[in-house]
Amino acid sequence: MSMIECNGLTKYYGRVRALNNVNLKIEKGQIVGLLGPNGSGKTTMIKLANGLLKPNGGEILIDGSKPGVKTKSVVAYLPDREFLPDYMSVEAIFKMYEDFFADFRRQKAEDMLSSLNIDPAMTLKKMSKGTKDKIQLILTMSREAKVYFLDEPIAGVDPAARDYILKTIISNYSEDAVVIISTHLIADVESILDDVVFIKDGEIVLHENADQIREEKGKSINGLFREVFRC
Amino acid sequence: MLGRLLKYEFKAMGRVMLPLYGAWLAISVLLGFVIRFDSGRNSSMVGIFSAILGILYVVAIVAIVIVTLVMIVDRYSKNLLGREGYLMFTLPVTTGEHIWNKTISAALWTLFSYVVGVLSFILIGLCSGSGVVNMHDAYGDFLGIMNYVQDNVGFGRAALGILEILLLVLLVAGVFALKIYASISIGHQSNNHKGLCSVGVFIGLSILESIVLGFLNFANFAYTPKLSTNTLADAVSSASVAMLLIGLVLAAVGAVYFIISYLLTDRKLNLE
Repeated sequence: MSMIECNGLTKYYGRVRALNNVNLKIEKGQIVGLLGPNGSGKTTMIKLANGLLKPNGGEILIDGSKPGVKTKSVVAYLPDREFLPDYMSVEAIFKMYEDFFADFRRQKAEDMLSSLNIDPAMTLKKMSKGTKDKIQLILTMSREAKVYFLDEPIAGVDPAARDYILKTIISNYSEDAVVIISTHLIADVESILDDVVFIKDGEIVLHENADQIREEKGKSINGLFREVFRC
Repeated sequence: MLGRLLKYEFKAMGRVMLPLYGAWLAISVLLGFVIRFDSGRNSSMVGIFSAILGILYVVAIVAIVIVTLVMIVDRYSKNLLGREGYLMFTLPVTTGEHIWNKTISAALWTLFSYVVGVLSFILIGLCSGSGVVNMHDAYGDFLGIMNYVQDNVGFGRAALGILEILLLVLLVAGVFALKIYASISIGHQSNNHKGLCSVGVFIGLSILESIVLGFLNFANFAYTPKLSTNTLADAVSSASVAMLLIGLVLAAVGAVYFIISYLLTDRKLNLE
């Protein structure tokens, strides 16, 4: 059974079609790049997988189940926006994750926090945007989830932070898990991807192994992306 | 999981409500003392001071009412349907638990506000000296009341009545909160002007509610059972039955709002 499976997945926002009849199967044990320009449907797909949106047609299955309590306990999601209550301290949020997610590893989170020299008693309100992003990443990657959805994890951060984020992702996911990284910054993530999905105007235009693309097409993912999505 | 949700809901509400309660009670104490000093003297300074505290006291009451309302709205529209919804709806919790969590919290905080209100009156009474001053007398009065209740109504029935009143207060507040949640859930379906739509729906639901209850001839329905009020005991029994009937009708109305909120949030959730 695939870890993620989309069957005829379709989503409209009013009359605007965001996803059109998406069929996709993703197996466990790999890092997958969900790549496409802005507005291509990446975030929509991830939100559907997390049950934050309901499809107009088709279905999305996580480990065989539709989004619900069961899938939510095994999916770690990093949204593309700030989503934590900003009056809470980092400590309080760690406690909250510990209360709700059985797979949250507090020690791991605290280690990452101290390596970044962030004061656990600090409230989010007092943090810079970059620091908040790091807290959100730490929370997501400190879970031993089956599926990680990382929506634009490196957009809007400086190159040094990008390296830290990618390093954190690679060193923290378990071998059986699936990591989905959505981004339009291909060059930065290219080196860590096992599989690549190109999405354009709500449709999947390519789903292949990253090494295979480089071998068969003789170009980098970034090069292929520029070709496929040429304006 | 509902217990854990409630724990965080109470923390979120408490950080706003508790300081307000504290301020309200502090103003009550000050007001009580100023009234004590004011009586018997004609000092204009104390007069001005007591006038200011009087105004502050009213402001505190209005603030508590408004903030309680705003918090009930915000904890649903922002915490669930706003950006924090990205956290709340990815917790392994059912939609039903989310709505129960918000409803229970709204009802309990409304009850707390009433209790603090009563406490504030007691504090004013105690501090101003116009209330019971002598603890010995107070105890005597208390015993007198208890004996009267015991002789005329019976403790069991009186306790039941008080419990019913408390439950009814909770129910009224819970159903009111659910009406707000149903309105926000319906308003959230609109692509733009979600807030405005929610307000419109709330007004619409309120009108519909009064029409339906009027149609049921609610007042008659609740009070016409041939209940005797000849003695205090009879009156308490009659009130008890009436409250039970009102409670049942309210629970039915609340159930409708719950179902609306549940279905729209569970089946039609579209977080921006």
